[in-house]
This record gives sequence, structure tokens and C-alpha cells, in this order.
Amino acid sequence: MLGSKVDAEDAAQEALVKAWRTLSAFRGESAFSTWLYRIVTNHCLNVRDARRPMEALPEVLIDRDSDPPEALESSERLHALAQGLLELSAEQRAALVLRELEGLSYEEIAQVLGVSVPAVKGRIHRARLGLLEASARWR
Amino acid sequence: MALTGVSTRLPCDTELAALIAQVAEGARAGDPAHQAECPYCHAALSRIRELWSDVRALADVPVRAPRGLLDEVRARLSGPAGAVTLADATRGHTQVSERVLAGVAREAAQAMPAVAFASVLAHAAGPGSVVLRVRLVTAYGPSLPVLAAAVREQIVTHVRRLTGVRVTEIDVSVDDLATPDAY
Repeated sequence: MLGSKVDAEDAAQEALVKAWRTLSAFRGESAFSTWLYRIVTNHCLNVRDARRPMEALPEVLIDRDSDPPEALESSERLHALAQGLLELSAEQRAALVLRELEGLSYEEIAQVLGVSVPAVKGRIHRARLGLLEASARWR
Repeated sequence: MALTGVSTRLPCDTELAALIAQVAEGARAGDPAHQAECPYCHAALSRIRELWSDVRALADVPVRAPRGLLDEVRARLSGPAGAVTLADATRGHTQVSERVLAGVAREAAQAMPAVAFASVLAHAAGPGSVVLRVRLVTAYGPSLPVLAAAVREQIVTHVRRLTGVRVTEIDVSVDDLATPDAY
């Protein structure tokens, strides 16, 4: 979501602190996990608004324990994919990450992002096309 | 982002979106007979499948919580962990944390019939002494100044007896009245 491991760690910490402090605001209108996703996602979107880092890609994508040649190829492809994700708009990326990486339903994503289900579908659709376009460049 | 490199419709007039939905969402093929024959659909589908196998691989990359995350969060939530050192220590120091002092004060206040709920913040105020901020939800009925004085007395006595710490100041605020069935 943020494209940087350090930023992601900060976001995890911020989100948990915020969740604890605003726990009384949780009314049970959505699943608790959806509420947490909402806090994390809003934080990430705000951070991206404040500054737009395009550096460091997640190091965890490099699996040093696997067979070197194969692992290298697959980790390069995952890097390219992560780069493609970073080229999307933050709103599109948030929707796509929640869908493809976190496995949320359209309804859940709509609750997390505070937009309608059709808007979520539109964002994910555009994000997928954008990713496909980016992939055409890295192949 | 402009979709310059990817036309959203293939030369065979098939919507790229439909093929993506097929791979990403497991949607049914719109025209299976056409798809089986069409080289454009074939090429597009194989590119999309390749991309999506990468996406799924990325989704499967295990994500571990950063080391020490919960400790950091706990530290930030509790603030600097203050404690009161008892003044009359002769063989080693005895410390009582602010959290314990607040807890003792809260229990003492809540033991009073007219107090439905109490919340206490404790701040160490030099050797052997503490300053408290007490917030109350009380029953309807008792005179609040009298009640506040009784709460002070009760807390000072209990904190002194249980922890040996002297309470030098207590701010009391009555935040709310409890409805009868709330306690």
C-alpha cells in the first residue's frame, strides 16, 4: 500500500495506537476487522497525500532461502509487480490490494473506503487494467 | 493513469475487462466458442493469467508483524511509565507504579454506594507522594460537594493504607449521573 517497509511498520503502529484510542467509537456497524482495515487504509492514504515516496520496494519479496536462479526470477517479477502497483493512484491501489492481496469482498472494501460498491468495482477494474498495462512494459 | 498501452477492446471486439474478470474473478467466458478459436483472446488470456499468477504469488508472500510492534504500541499508549518511590526505604527501594496507584484509588472510590463508576489518573509527585485526577459517574441524590469530600477521604485513606503512598492532591470531577439500572 505504501511501497516502503519502514512506512508500513510505522503505519501498523499508528493504526494500532489509533484503534485503541478510538475503540469507543467502534459501534459494531461493521466487522471489527473491517473497522481496522479502515483505520489502516485511511492512514496509508493520508501518508501518501502528505508525501509521495517512490523509493524502497519491500525487501521481503526476495526469498533468500529458495533455489537461487528460480527464486531470483520470481522475486524480480514480484518486484516488477510491486512497482506496477506503486504506479497506480493511491485510491486504485488501496482497492486492488484489499481485493487481491487481502481477499476482501466488494461490500467490505466499500465499507473500508467509505465509497459505494459500484465505485469500488470501477476502481478495481481500472487498477487491473493499469496493472496489465504496466506488465506489458516489464515483460 | 492513461491506458495508452492497453486498448480496453481487443481487435476481435472482445472486452478486455471480460477476460480479466474471467481470470481474476472466475467469471464465465462470454463466448466460449469464439474464445477457443480466437488468437487475440488466447494471447490476452495468457498474459492476464501470467500476471494473475504473479498477483497470487504476491498475495501468498507471508507478512510478518514488525518485531516489537506490540511493545512499541503498549509503550506509546501507557506513556512514560511513572512510579512513586517510597520515602522510608532502608533496605532497598520500593516502587509503586502510577497504574497501581490509580487502580487502588479507583477501587476505593467505586466501593462507595453513591459512586457508579470512577476513572483515575495518577501522577507521581516526588518521593512517597502522588497527585490524582478522579472522574466520577454518580448516583442521583447525594450532595455532590459532600460526596466529593467523602471520595477524597476514602481514596486518601485506602491509598495510604494499601500502598504507603501519600496523596497530596485530588482533583475530582463529576462527569455524569448514572441511571438507576446502570449500577
